Amino acid sequence: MRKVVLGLGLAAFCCAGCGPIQASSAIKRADDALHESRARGWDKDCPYEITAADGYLAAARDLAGQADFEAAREFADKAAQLAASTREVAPRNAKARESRGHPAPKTPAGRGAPPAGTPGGRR
Amino acid sequence: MMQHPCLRYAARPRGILAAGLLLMTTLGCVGTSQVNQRTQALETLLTDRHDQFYACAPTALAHAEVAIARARNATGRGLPVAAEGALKQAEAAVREGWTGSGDSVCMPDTDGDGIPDRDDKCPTLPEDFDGFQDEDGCPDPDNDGDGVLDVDDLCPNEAGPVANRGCPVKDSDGDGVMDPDDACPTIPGPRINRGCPIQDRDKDGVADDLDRCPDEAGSAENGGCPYTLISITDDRIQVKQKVFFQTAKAAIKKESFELLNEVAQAILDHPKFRIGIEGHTDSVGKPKVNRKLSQDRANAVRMYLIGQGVAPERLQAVGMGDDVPLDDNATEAGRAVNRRVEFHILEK
Repeated sequence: MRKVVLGLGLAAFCCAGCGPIQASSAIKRADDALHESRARGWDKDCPYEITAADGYLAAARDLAGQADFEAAREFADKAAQLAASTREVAPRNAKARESRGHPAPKTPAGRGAPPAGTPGGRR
Repeated sequence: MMQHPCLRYAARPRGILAAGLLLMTTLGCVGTSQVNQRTQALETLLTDRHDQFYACAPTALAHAEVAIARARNATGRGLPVAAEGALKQAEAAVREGWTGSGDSVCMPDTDGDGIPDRDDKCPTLPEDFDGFQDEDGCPDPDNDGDGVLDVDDLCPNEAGPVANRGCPVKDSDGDGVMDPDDACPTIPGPRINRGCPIQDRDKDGVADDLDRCPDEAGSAENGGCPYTLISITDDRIQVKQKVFFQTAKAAIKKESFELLNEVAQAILDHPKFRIGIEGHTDSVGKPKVNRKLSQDRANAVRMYLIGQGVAPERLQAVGMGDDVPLDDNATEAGRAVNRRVEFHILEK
């Protein structure tokens, strides 16, 4: 009986800690992905992805603080996915921007044609 | 499956408290329903316009999508106030993206002139960027609107006639004769001489077109002609001939008309002159008679000059008799000198 109680208690502890740990882990991954994107300079040609990733990450932290760990994890995953997508999106956007051929002063950096299948794009 | 929060609250009827709760939840349901509708509308808009938003307002799109996700989350957690707040953020972001503030460059540009259609007054005609009104997006084939297309216009920004290849017709020397018609465009001259200065062949200061004697130097007062029978001194019009009268009479002989004509012309040439005409005789005869004769002759000369156009008030006739001889009355030569008419300048 003691073992059963101990086992149930351990299981309850694990289940209770599961949500926060997963959310925290997802937030960490998203944060790292964003740092890497910025460190590699991909963020310059991906204003949408970076801004959205920042927004989802902030929301994830906020929801984690409200103990909504499931939603926090989902938002963090979304942020990580967007940040990671900049690896592929940035070169495409840069190329599209250069091919626009508009006068340089009027062409702000980081703008380009929308790439097909952009993560977090069409919902 | 997660139960809708409205139904979850509405499913607890218990007396008055339950009725109150039902009322509150009903109101909450209405609010939640409205939030859902607005959220759905925003999502539809962003889906339909995703490419445009992505290209032109990527940050606004990102903010809107995150805010919508938060609104959905808050609604699912039964937090209508939070949902409403997030939805308002989403709407604000969409509004910002829709107006495209700061993102005009990548807006659709049908004519590909680099000016987005929204700012392009001629979205289907590319701007020609010729330095003239290049911001409006419209080509300006004839900048100065003179009817000569810029490609053919030597002065594309200055209106000018076709005949002058679109350049304005100028009057370089300011003489009123436009350069194309001016034979001397840099030297002022009257139109009658094709814009060239009129020459003064006799160098008398009177231009040939005004010089009655263009090849003879003369004063401007005499129309550029020289006085041949008279000269003008400080105090008189000096005659080089005598004025001849019939013997013992005041009738002027014809041979003196030319002389008097020139005197009249000199007076007319000098509008401020007022002339005193003095008649003189020799000493032959009685002084009283001589005085009357000299007065009559001075009067005769005055009348002749009036007849030539001189105003009467400018002429004063005086008979001096033999009172002012110039020479010896004992000799014929002296007496001839003394018989004379003088023209004194009284005012000038």
